[in-house]
Amino acid sequence: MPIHDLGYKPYAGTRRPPSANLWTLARQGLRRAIAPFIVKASLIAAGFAVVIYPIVFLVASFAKVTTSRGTRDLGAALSPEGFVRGIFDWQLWLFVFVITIAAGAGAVADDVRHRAFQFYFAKPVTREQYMFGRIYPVAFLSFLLTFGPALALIALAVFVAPDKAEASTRAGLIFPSLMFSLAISCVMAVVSVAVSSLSRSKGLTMSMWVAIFFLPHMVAVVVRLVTKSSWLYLVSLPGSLGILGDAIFKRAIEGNVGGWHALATLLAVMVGSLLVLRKKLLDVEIIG
Amino acid sequence: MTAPMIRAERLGKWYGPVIGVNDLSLTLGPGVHGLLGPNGSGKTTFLRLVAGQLRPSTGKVEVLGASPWNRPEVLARIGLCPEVDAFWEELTGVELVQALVRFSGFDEREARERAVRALELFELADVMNRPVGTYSRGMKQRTKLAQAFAHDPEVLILDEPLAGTDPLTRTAIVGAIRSRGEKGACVLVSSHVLHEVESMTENVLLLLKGQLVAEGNMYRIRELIDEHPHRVLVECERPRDLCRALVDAPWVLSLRFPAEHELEIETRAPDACYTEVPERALALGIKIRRLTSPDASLEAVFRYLVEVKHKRERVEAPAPSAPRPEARA
Repeated sequence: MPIHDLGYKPYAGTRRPPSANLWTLARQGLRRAIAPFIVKASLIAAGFAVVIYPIVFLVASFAKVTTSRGTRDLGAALSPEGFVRGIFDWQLWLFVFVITIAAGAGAVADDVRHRAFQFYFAKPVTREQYMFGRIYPVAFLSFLLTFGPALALIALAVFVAPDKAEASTRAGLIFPSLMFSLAISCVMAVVSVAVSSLSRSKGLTMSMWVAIFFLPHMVAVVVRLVTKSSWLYLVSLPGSLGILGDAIFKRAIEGNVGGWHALATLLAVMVGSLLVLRKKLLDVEIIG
Repeated sequence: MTAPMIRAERLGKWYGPVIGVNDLSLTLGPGVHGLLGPNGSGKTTFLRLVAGQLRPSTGKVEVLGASPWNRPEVLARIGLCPEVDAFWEELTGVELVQALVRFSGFDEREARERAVRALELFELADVMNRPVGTYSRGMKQRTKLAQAFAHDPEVLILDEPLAGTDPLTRTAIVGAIRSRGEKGACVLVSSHVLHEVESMTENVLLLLKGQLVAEGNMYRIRELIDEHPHRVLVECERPRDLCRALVDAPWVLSLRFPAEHELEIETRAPDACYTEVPERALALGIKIRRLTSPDASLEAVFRYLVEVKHKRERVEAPAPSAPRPEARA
């Protein structure tokens, strides 16, 4: 068998600095994140949503409803900001959750199970870069799934606005949409990836994430029905995000909890999750 | 004098109450260095310490003048082929190696070229566009080697690089390792099979129970090991036919069949055994699947070296760091 290794000499050319690995990891993470069928399917379905929401809005804008009291123009009663705000709930519960399950809640556990750390950490990759490389793909996809449809809808709402003043008001929805999309994507990505570091069993971390996402919310809904208190929504991720979204869009918040409460809670959850993730990764040694 | 590329000073690593490496001091320069020891002797722990994957419990380890732990600038100059497989099986061989090479600071195009070159070096050109999940064990082993070599590191750390490979592939791997050593890289290769290391280098380090019991020239070690019978396991079709072909060989001490497709040869001439077994099998049209040494005789040699060490320690005056018995004659 021939030996080809005749050209070896230590590389003397320029190399990118190790800090550039942040984006290398992010890109590779994104490529891996969209590999599962369920993620591809979610992205495609979300693509339909980008078309469907504006169509529904368009139909509603020009619809006339005839009742016993006469014919009423539905478009006049339609609230674009309510419509845009509503999109985020649909996207969060339907698509963002699927993305976090498929690409976030098993990310670190999957690497531990596949013993990938011995390859990552034998390369010029710091633990912090690795953390970013795992969070970024989930955050990016979540952002795409929330801001994309919202932006499409706002563009249409501006286009069909009855006058310039209304068009300007509707265009003003871009900023709160951007803020809320960022909040959803950061919270969901950080917490789901942190959960994925709690065990080497991907099934277990994914189950934990499902429980964390749904159980507190179910309890909060029941408590609200019984006691009329909405404080328990703060321990629910979708609940807190919902309150924060209403605050960002300046909509009336039901119950006795304010937007600042939700913001503080979500910040605390994110910082806690990052600390857990950092602790799990910072001192990791390749033993098994 | 050449600056040391790997330096360990009173290096220790414990896993709770279990000792991985204990009070290990050494200095290695360019060239190939064989790290020998039976299973559980601390070889992998030492390699992981050098590769920055473990943090020392005591003492220190330096690679190219700095600690490798969480230091990207040092890790960029190290190539590691770990013992266990760890692959993203959905990627093709070239995608996997390219992805790993990119971390060493190369752009997409350069990383791709290097990945292709490294895979060609290890005879994987034909299969590099196939998903890694479809690879055989030997192919995966060669892929691991390719990713370790591809960025031309100054320090190469190879943990059992010949595990799971067929005799022909071994020749290519050994050639690549020797070539890197000759051209100035520091290559640290672990194995529990003396014969494997012997084909790559004369410089050996012997570990037992986490301690460096001897270092030096291979041939002196060989004299010791030749006193002990060596076992070679052949996994093949028709082991009984192969047995008939080998029974008259002067270097065969005994032959047995541990399993249906296995033949175990006991010999005092492993060189002749490793050369002649494939030749005789080929003459009979017998396909050899694996040729390995499950030999425990190395451990016996190590125990002997430990005894030598203890005897010397009793004779010589006690010193803060006990001298190691030099195997060099």
